[in-house]
Amino acid sequence: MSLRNLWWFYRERLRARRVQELFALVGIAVGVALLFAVQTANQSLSASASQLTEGLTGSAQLQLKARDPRGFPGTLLREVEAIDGVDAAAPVLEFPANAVNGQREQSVTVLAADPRLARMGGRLVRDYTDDRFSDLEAVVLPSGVAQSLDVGFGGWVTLQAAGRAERVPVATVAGQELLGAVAESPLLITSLPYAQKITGLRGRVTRIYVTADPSRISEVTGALEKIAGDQIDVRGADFDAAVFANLAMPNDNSTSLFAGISALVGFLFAFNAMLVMARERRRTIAEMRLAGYRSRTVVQVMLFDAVVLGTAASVLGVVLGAALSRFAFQPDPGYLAIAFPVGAGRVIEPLTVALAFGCGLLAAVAAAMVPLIGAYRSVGPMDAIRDDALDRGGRNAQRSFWAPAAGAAVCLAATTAVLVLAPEAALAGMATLIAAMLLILRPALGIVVASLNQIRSRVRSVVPTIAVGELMSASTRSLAIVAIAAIAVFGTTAIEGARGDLQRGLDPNARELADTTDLWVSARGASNLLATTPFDAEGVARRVESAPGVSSVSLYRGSFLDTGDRRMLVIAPPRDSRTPIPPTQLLHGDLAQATARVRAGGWAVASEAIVREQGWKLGEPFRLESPHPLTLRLAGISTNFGWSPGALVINADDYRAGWGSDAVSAVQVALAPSAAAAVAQRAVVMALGDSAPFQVQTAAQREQSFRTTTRAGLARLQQIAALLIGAAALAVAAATAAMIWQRRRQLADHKLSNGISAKSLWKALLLECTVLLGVGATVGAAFGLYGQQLLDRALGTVTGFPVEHTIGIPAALASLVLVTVITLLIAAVPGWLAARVPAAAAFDQ
Amino acid sequence: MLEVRDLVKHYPTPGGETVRALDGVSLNVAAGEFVALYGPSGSGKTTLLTIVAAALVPDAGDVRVDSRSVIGLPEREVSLYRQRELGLMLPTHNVIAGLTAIDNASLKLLAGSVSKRAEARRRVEPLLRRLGLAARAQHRATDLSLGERQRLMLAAALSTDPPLLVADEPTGSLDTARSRDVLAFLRERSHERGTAVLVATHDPQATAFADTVYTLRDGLVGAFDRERDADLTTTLHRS
Ligand SMILES: Nc1ncnc2c1ncn2[C@@H]1O[C@H](COP(=O)(O)OP(=O)(O)O)[C@@H](O)[C@H]1O
Ligand SMILES: [Mg+2]
Repeated sequence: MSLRNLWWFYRERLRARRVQELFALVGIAVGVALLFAVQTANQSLSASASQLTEGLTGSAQLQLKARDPRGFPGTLLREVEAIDGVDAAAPVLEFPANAVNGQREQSVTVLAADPRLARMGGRLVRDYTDDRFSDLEAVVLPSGVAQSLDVGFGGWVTLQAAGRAERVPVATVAGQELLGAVAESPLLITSLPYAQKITGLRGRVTRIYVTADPSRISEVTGALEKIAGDQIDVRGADFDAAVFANLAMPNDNSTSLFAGISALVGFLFAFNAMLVMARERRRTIAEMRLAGYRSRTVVQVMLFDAVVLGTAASVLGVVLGAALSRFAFQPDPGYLAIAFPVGAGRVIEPLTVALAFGCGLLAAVAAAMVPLIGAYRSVGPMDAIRDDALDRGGRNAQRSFWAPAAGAAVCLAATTAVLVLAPEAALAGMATLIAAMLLILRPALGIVVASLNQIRSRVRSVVPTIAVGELMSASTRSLAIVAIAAIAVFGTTAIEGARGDLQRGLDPNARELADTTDLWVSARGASNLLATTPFDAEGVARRVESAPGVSSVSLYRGSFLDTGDRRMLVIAPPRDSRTPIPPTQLLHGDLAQATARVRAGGWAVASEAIVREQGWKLGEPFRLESPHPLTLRLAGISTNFGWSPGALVINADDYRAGWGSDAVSAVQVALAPSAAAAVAQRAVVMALGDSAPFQVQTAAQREQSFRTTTRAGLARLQQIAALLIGAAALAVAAATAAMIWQRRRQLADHKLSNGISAKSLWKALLLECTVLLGVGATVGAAFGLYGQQLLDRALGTVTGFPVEHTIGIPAALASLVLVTVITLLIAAVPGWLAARVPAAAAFDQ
Repeated sequence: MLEVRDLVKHYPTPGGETVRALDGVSLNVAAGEFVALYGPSGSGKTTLLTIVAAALVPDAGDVRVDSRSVIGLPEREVSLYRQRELGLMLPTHNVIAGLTAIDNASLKLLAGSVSKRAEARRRVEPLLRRLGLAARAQHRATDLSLGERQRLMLAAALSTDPPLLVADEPTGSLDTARSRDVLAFLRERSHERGTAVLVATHDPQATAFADTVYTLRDGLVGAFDRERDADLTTTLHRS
């Protein structure tokens, strides 16, 4: 058939089934939107991180990178330039700071460079570090930061860094057009000399980027290593992208896992939305065969249908998904922002669009083929005039009990094997689990309907007879609705349950990390949550000590140290800290002994992943590549304390030796037994002075901010679960409404021939829907609980986070009831309208 | 039993013209009488039956069943009328696929006065036997042949023992032998039980079984002239 005829044919038939087609469209679009929104949110972070790295380094291939946050002498630059084969070298100073304007605050990474970096061509700095900017005594703000601080060109911000505060003018604001997604990153760009001046880090830099003759890279690397010695690292210029990937890995993996599930769910929504239309399509096929069309033409027409519907629905889905990701599903850097200046820029990758689009189309086409295959097997041309012959499957309902039940058992066994043997293959396990669930639906529905059939004679009403009769037809259409409900409840139960378990695992960790003292004094700024910003303790400790209610102060140290590709968190509590090692987080080793050893010095506790990667052994010595390398012994193995790349615990004095500096990153304050925390807190704030760049937190407040941050990281998972519920309700409602709508003629017939009232018909429809949704939702909830166990194991393995294992029955019940009730409420409306169909419609042929 | 008085129903067409489906139709069906309404397709038969089934309101005229008008009855009364007084057979054989033949035939009883399934079955069983469906009673309705289904629909329509039976093209999809069986059954039913039977048909065979035949053409009824009207196709060609 020619395309023109196909189109004409399509339009003609569309006219007759506009409403059903609309429902299928909505169903597919919802699935596509879900997939698109999750994927976009997921990819935006890594995309903006790599834009940042690329935008900074330009053509550089190598870098010298300080281990110490306070950098190394900039004089090394001359030595680097003198190496044979080095074309250019550019110094950079990078440090965390807190930018303040009035009541507004924003944690930023200050990036200071000079024209040499501009010449390397990184697009991020090209325009702001060239010669015009070389002696600039002002800062450039990306538009995101400018907006959150409510400051613009000509304004001033206070920059709190390294325990000092400095007022600096804003030179300009750079937007999306220049920075891309980085415009949303928490950055601040300025000139190198100015940055060195305001931080007191005179003459120091944290990195030197190097462009070298490509053929002499290894030679240059060797020479750089000689210059670097023990205290500086030589890395590739794109090293930070690798660090970020590692940092973001658990986040990426868990969201990918969840996005994968959403994609699966979205696809199944779309697929089932099409299946609801299977009857309509079978009729078309039967009619066309009756009219003598060749099979090829029938296939063409069906495919054309599916492609038009799939395309329209996918476009709608992508638009919906884009809106979702813009308004409800913003990229949230969460904990990543603590160690990386990554912002909430939204990056829509063409691949994401293609993927979402492809899934919608695939679902439409796949579902269009199902009635086609079914039709050629079982529908003869004469079925065009036998309405109910189009509901295939009814006759086979009894026969098809054992085969799917056996299939489900096999899939369940496969899932269990994954759970026990290879939890990191959770996505595959999820697929087999969903397959098992889908297979079990027909037998499950069969059992429920058979029991209903037994009791219906005892009910004095025609309602159950009609409902049970329709249910016993067990058509593709009804099963599609059961499946959508099951998938929806399954997805939300598993995702929401696993999220809760992760949260419960992280909570005690937050308490134990914060509860080592009464008050914490540290540099201001959200990105300093883990107390990693060093400052000069001298004056601070003295002033705090003098505050009323303070019994004693001790010095806490800590920072990030890049080990391999991991940005490891170093926690160095003072020897007198109440619990230097968070007790519930120790996985291997004796707590009392490990605590005593860390206090004594020369011993460390490290996270499992790092220990494994570095090949360290319990009780044995290892070398820590700190600015002044240390030899330590491993006293115990811990979780990662919620910091995905891993952590290391040593005492504060060992840290001083390893970093060669007296700087601290927090002052721990013990209060007199009689002092109230809140009163003492105010006293300490007073003693430090109002505008001091420090925050003073009680242990409880600090615990709360830990929790808030980990929650923010998990918020995505919660959003996915919520979105899934919403999408599910919509998809189920659309499918149910489509099913009800298709019944109108039959309903009219019941009214006319049997004198059944609209109200009874409505009740029968609702009863039927309740059973379909109830069976689907219940099976979904049961399998969802299993899915939760699978996800728990996967999250534990993949992220290294402490995960608590629970069985989220209340959550499962809640989503079961929610999906069923919401959908019923929605379906009640088309149900009522359909039941009110004029009886005369029964005469329509 | 059934009195149709001066019934008028015009349908507007998208083109602006009106289709005069019924243009002042009157006819009577007495208790125990078998009446055939005979006319070519498009002559207004279904429109008339739809009005009789209280599913359509005419532009003018009245339909009385047992001396009571069925036009504009309230919703509840309509249901009762269809359950108790009317037996209706449609050309579409609409069954619930999941139910057995006997359950399908019991639906009408269950919707009305009978609340026990067993009681309903007991009442439709003789009808099914009489229609030759006894052996098929426990089969799924969808497994029945077209002819069997037609008879199943008839059993359902008659299950409440209504005084009036209205059938739209009851022989539409049957072969000659089967058509005869159905028509003979209807005739017998009307004569033995005193049921008033109105059959709309374009099947000339039906006229032979009826006590009275009306022709319907262009919205008007006329007396049936066996010579002139026996073969509608020739009539149509002539006009
Ligand atoms: N709902 C309607 N709207 C418009 N025209 C209609 C409608 N129903 C029937 N007609 C027209 O009324 C005329 C009579 O139709 P109908 O009563 O179905 O005749 P029959 O049953 O004898 O074939 C036909 O021309 C038909 O096209
Ligand atoms: Mg007709």
